[in-house]
Amino acid sequence: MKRTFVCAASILAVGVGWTSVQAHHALSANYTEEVGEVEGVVVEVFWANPHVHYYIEVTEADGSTRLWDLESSNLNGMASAGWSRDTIQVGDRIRASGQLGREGRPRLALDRDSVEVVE
Amino acid sequence: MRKLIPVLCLVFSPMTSIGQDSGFVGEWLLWLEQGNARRPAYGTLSIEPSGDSVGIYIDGGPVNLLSLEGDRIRFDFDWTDVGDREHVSILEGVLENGILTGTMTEAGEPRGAWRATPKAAPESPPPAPDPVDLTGIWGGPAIISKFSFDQTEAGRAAHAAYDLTIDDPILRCVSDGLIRMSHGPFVIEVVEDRGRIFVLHEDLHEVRRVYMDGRPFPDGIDDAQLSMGYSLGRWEGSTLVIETRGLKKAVWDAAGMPFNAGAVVTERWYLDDDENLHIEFSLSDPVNYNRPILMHQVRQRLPDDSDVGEYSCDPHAFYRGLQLDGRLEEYWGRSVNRL
Repeated sequence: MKRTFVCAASILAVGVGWTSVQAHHALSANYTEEVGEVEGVVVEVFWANPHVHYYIEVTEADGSTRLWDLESSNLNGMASAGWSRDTIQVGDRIRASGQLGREGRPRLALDRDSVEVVE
Repeated sequence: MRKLIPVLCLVFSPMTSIGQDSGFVGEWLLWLEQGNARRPAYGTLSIEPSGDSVGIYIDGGPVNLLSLEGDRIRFDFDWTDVGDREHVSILEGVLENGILTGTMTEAGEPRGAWRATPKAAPESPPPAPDPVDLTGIWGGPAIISKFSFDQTEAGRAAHAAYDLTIDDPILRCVSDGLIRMSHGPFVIEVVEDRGRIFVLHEDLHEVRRVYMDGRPFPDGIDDAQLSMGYSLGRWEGSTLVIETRGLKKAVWDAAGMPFNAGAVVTERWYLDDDENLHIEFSLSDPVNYNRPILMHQVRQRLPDDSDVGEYSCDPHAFYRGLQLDGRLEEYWGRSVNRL
């Protein structure tokens, strides 16, 4: 089974407005412009402000595992995009892309449009 | 990137001349169309005589005059988007019937319209109080995000030392303080009772009290270390004027522009003909800036039966992220930077 979520643009997408109306804090500081993809099993869902996070365990090429931090938007942004606490659950295997963390850190600024739950 | 701006200012120094009676000189309410948003953003445009030309400032930060011929003006504007990416747009306009109107471009591509209307200077002496009803629920503002400001050496050093991936207090769910909270995307509710005006912020449930009973500031207020400050209000005609002192050292925007304890914030709240709430902010902090920082926000009244949401915050993900990044020890070692 494969579920693909089609959602409104993520709050972490590149902004083109004048306003800082959504810039409660600077999101770009932790991320590069480079987009990458990761796949792993969700081990924790942090469903709260300031931003929702999904922590996933990713298996590296050498067989070791590494925990990645996938950051999304605040709760209002998630709700506006039709996401709920149950959209992604602990134990789901997901594939997702987004801007990669700086200095090789295991972070992803989650592009919600990209998220797939895979078996 | 901010440190590059003064260099650019020198490269693009104004080459045109202007008479002291120019209609361009003055303070303007700047209105910028937003391509991807439902509403415009607002700011303050200041045009001042400077030698035989003019100096131009947006929200108190310098921009570069590119040309000034007759009733036409062209200048640039450095700003940051919601992703904290820097942009430089070019504003071209014409002065007609006392109003500036024009179009904006960025890298040659159109960005929409802009307009500037003259701001009325505060009357002197102030008019007699004529209070209006500002109570109610007001929607979040849309403001511009000027990129560079005229900082002192101390201000530049403070900004350079700030690491917004660790030092930003909102990452720890600590109140981001009067100025930043007031300019965030959140709703406010204004309530008046027993000689004070309460501003109830959706953001972190912060409550602000503005004392209207004529009391003075408490002794030692500049050392009070308050997030929202100590605010005294008075009416000048139908404008609510608020002076706030006692703020703790903090930053006033998401990019980490600093201000010191001892800074003074003056606000002017008034309604326009369409019953929108305008709030002009002026931040005076000579430790960090060579001229006041100015901001202008416009809020729309929401129905009285609107819900005011709750924006609570949990710092778990911040510390979790530091652990994953291997930066927890770095965080503990930066206590001197903690705001």
